[in-house]
Amino acid sequence: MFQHKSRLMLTGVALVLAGCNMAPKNADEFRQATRDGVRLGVASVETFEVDRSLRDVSSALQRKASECLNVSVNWRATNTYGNTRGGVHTYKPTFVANASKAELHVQRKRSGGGDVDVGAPPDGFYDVVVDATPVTPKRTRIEIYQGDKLMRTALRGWATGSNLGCPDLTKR
Amino acid sequence: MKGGLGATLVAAAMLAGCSSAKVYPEVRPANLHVRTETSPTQVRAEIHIHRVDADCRTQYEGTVPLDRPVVELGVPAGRTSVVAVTFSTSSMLRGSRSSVRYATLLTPRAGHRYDVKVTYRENLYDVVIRENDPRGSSSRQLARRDPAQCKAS
Repeated sequence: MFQHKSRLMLTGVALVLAGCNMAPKNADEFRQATRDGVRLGVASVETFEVDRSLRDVSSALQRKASECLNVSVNWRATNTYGNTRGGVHTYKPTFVANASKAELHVQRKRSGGGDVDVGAPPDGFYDVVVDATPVTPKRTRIEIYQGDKLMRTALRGWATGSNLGCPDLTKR
Repeated sequence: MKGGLGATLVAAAMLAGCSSAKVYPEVRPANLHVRTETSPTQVRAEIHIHRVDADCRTQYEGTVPLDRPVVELGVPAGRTSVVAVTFSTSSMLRGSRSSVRYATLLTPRAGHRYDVKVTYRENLYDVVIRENDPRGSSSRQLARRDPAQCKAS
């Protein structure tokens, strides 16, 4: 219930921002918008550390993002009156890394089904951004900006190496 | 309540009737050993085999339901196939059906055995394929080969 309410509020904030042409256009703006959302209590940043090197975390994020998040989800639903609608959600993961940081940005473009992404970047609104930075040579700090429970569970599993499963994005 | 069950059965029958899956033929030897764990159990897992020719064109060969903990099937050795696993769920209440698919290219080697571990738990799915040599002395996990990356030979 809380999650639903929070998502509605976040959607509201996104719509207002989009109306003002202020929707995040890149990962930096998305991070900042999420931090602002945290202050308003409508967004969250999850931070934790894992006992793995940046290289291992980076490699897992890159491999799993390419395997699990480079997808299009077709959806179709029929309401109690028998009306059916459907659309497509196209996900686009972007992986960026150097010796001191790895980043994963996930965008989601929605089309059909009455979805209109006003003011979105060409590949869709930012859905989640993950940053991995080294704490020590064998320890890495992970920050997950936004994302729902399912996406975060998957990203946490990839970062820790404890669960390499792909999120079933039809369940979002 | 009875009406609800009746509607469910009718819907299930219709879904079964609409299915375009064909039964995958028996191929010997049965070199793929598929172990499946799904939770909740309402998730329907299936494995689909497609033949891939030298130009990367695919031809659907059939489907095997993963409705038992262990299922064995044969995929011809020395030839590339697309091995795809689908996880399907339906919600009568929401009037929706969904399906997610994992696919990889696989070129089985003669005499080798392939252990496929298929899991779907708490909306996370995974398919891990291990290749075991004929003597069982070595085993390695195969990386996924994206069918979209298939190169004509």
